[in-house]
Parts: sequence; structure tokens; C-alpha cells
Amino acid sequence: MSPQWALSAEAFSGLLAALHPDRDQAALRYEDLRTRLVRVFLWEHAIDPEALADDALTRLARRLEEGEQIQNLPAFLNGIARNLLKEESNRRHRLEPLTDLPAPVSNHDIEREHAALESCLATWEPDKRQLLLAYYQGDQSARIQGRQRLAAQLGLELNALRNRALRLRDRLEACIRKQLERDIPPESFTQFRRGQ
Amino acid sequence: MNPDLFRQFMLSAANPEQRDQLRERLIADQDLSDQLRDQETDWIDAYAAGTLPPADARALYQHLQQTGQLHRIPTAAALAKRKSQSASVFPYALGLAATLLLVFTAVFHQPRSKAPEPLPQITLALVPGALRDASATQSVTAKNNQPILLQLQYQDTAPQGECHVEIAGQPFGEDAPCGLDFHPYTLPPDLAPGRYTLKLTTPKGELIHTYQLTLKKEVP
Repeated sequence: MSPQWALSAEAFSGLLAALHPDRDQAALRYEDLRTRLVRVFLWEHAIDPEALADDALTRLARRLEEGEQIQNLPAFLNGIARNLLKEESNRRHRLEPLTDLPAPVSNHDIEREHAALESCLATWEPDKRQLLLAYYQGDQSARIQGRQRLAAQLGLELNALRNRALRLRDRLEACIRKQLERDIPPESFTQFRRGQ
Repeated sequence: MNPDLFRQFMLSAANPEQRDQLRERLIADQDLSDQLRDQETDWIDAYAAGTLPPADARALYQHLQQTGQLHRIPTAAALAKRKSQSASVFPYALGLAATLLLVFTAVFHQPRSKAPEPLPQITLALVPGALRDASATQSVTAKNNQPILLQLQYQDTAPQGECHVEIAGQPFGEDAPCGLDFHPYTLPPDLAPGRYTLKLTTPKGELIHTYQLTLKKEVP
């Protein structure tokens, strides 16, 4: 594929149409598909999962525009993902096996993280705050039953509750990260994030 | 839902064919993708709470390092701290009236108020060096601020002079004369839960032994 090829409005519309005939539904499916691709690239240790997910969708749109008949979309996208991962394999994180866990977090850091959490949660709507705290309550074994009860209370399927909680968790993590970055110089934060 | 999905995923890194199949399913299935993300998050929370077994903690940390997700740990740690605080607030609230009554009664019935009972000291003998295998790491569970005395065992003969202790590369406490059979060392009472490497050195920094310890804190 030529690196100069850019995603046109027509090609993007073609991609949406392949996902669902209704444009609003197609937009939702596109967002979900992109989220799944970002996670896949993240879990495959890619340096920039967001960029790779966009690259994969752009390649898919181009193949559709060229008239490719795709029978199995996930298998086709996985093929694109495989190629992209191969192309950037030399850039991926390469780390020595871990022999020891890192130095413990100081009490000062724990207090700072806790303050960031409270500050983030304070800006949330009460129902969202309660849902997040209830979902992540208890230890691993207690959580399964607690979440089933919570889903029943809210009249949701467990899958729908999980999806909602994950979005809130992502939002919380982004907020806390932003708060902590204000205090830590960007260079040190990058080192910490990448564990180098 | 497969409760071991995340463990399977981490293990699948060693098998490209299996990994490829799983990747395709993760692209196709939103629920599966959410389940894996959910379990990954639960592992991170357990890691931050200090309840993950050492071998799993090490595997998870490496996974987060490789996937550029170490920034997720502070949120998990903050949630764990919030949980432990709220768990301790409820019984206090329930017992508040009774406690106030008891204190009030005590003031009138006792000439002096009693100080709270100190927590009993925990003593643990730590064996040096060889126990680097995470599954064999010695662990201790204590209440907040409960004193923990470590008996840092020597490999063969006792060192002469003063001994110095570092935890995770940082000095903690004063140098003290090395003990005869072991070096006694009291852990800092506010040390957070986690897995630690302790180094016993001379005051000049010459390494005598290293020790592995997992510290867990009891939720009140």
C-alpha cells in the first residue's frame, strides 16, 4: 500500500456502510471496532496503538474502495493487524525479563494519588461515581458476585454494566494521570510510564 | 465468562498461532475484549492492594511495562486506599455513640485514662540470597503500624562491625552493630504493602546479603 494514500470522505463513508446500513449505527460500530483495535495493538506491545488502529481502519477503507469483497471482516482486519505489527516489530518494546519488582511507592506518593482520585471523583455526577466505586468494590472473588448484584439492581445485563464501568474507569485513569502529570516533570513521567 | 482469560492471554504470547486466533476473536467480539480488559484491570487492582501472589505480580508488572500501561497503577492504588479507609469508617460510625459513652464512663470511674494497647510485635527470620524465586519469597501480614522485627540471617559467619540496611535501594534506619547470629532490624511502621528487596551492607556499602520480603497489610 502506498503510504501517500489518504482516507477520503467517500472511502470513510464506504467503510461505515460496510459496518451497518444505518449511518448512526455504523458510527457506533466504528467506535467500538476502533476501541477493540486499539486494545489489540496495546496488548501486542505496539508503541502507538491509537495510530496503528487508525492505520488498520484506513487500509480497510482503501481495500473496500478498491472493490475488495470481504466475507469475514475480523479475519481480514486481523490480517491487516498482523502486517502492521510485522512492519513495526523493530520499534516495539523490548525489555529484559523482569527479575525484581520496582521500588515501593512512598507514602507521599500514595497521598498524592489519593488526593487526585478524590479531586477527580468530586467533579463527577453522583450516579457515575457510585457505579464506579460499587463496580470496583471488594477483592477479586467478591467482585464477581457484587457485580452480578449491581447489574440486577440497575436492570442491566452484566456485559452492559462491564462496558459502562470500563468507560468510567478509563475516564478516571485519564483524569488522575492528568492531575499527577501537573506535579511531575514530563520526562520523569514518561520514564515511569514506560518503566525504563 | 472465563475467569482465567487474562492469564491465558499472557501465556499465549509464547504461542504465535494461538495468539493470532485470540487476536482475531478480540477484534470480532466486543464482550470478549471487555472481559479481557476487565480482568486486566482487576489484576492491576489486586497488584496495587498487595493481594496478588508474587509470581503473578511479577508477570503483571512486566505486562504493564511492555504495554506502556504502568500509569494505570496509581489509580488502582488510590482506589485500594479509598476502599481500606471506607471499610474502617463504617464500624467507627456504628460504634461512635458506644465509644463516647465508654470514654465518658471511664473518665468518672478511673483515676487515669488508659492508653490504647500497643500492637504485638511480629518477628520473622529472613533467609538471605537464595530465595530469589518469587514463589518462595517470604511474606508477612501485619496491621497498620504494627512493629515487625526482622532477623536477617547470615549465610555463614557473622559480619564484624556495623550493619546497614537498604530497602529497595533506599537506606532505612540507622547503622547498628551487626548481631551475633542474625542482624535484628525493625521495618519502618508505615511501609506500604509490596514486594521488597532488602540489602544488608557494611556502612561503606559493601554488600553482605540480599533478602526478599513480601509485606501485606491487614485491612481493619
